[in-house]
Amino acid sequence: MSRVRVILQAMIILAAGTGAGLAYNAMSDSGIPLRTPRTVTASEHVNWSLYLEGVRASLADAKAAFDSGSVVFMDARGPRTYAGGHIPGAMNLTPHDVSTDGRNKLAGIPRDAQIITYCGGARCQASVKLAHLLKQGLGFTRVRAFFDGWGAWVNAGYPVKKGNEP
Amino acid sequence: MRWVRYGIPVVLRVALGGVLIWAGLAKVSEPALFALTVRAYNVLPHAFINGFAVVVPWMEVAAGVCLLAGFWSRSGALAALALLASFGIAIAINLYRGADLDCGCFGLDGARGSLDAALAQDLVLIGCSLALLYVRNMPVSLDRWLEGRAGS
Repeated sequence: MSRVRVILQAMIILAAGTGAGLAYNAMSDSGIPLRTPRTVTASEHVNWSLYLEGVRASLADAKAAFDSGSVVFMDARGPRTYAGGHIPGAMNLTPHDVSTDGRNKLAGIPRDAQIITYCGGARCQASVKLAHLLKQGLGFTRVRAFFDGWGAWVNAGYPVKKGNEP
Repeated sequence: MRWVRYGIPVVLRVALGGVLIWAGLAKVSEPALFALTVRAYNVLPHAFINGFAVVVPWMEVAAGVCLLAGFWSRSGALAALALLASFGIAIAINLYRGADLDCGCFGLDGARGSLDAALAQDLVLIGCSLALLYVRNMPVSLDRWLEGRAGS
């Protein structure tokens, strides 16, 4: 009798885990579709590599950083796109800026400041390129790339700001 | 030999529970990346990969919490055994295939050793859970406390 009970209880434990997993997945920003999509997306691959290198910021990371107010966001898209809408407080700095006078925008920022770069999302590489330049070229030590970027930010309904001002 | 009867089950239980909770929590927050790991193992039917990645880390946590607290201890050990056995099979298949994989067991950074080390770890944990399956009257456990209350 007790053997049956042990098995039943074990199934209840696993079912409780299942419930917790489904609930968390439904509520979390980093939730995924329960049925596996046909192919792995480019975005997943890039996020994976960034994660392995320890420079990935997920949507949840970006939001937490935004709320904390202690992280510098850098919008790597062109000035016009930036003016059309950006993360409030983000400075506009393209990878091209870094190799020209645009670099001066970085003057007041300490090398150990926490920085998160982003661009449009899965179809752009500017966020990753900028993060690389900041880290390897200019010696900033705490740079992460929010590769899912603007698209994911807007989809999540997080605050946005229009215009040339950060 | 009181300490053998009392100490060893408790140590095994806490160790196994702790490892399961650690392994589970390391994967919980990044289901998309864990799904890529599961995909790389290439043992599950494609459609189930995401569901597995969503649910299994939490199963590990659930079994780990039961073991740690000593709540339904034997059932927790059985649940752990089921999970560990399935991991063991997946690892063994890939060892046989000679696949170049990271375990992805305690996090997704690929920094924790080879597949054969992972299989060895898994077998040790399976041993723990098997041993715990036979402990009927678990010392220092919620089970015993609840039983005591029911009895009095």
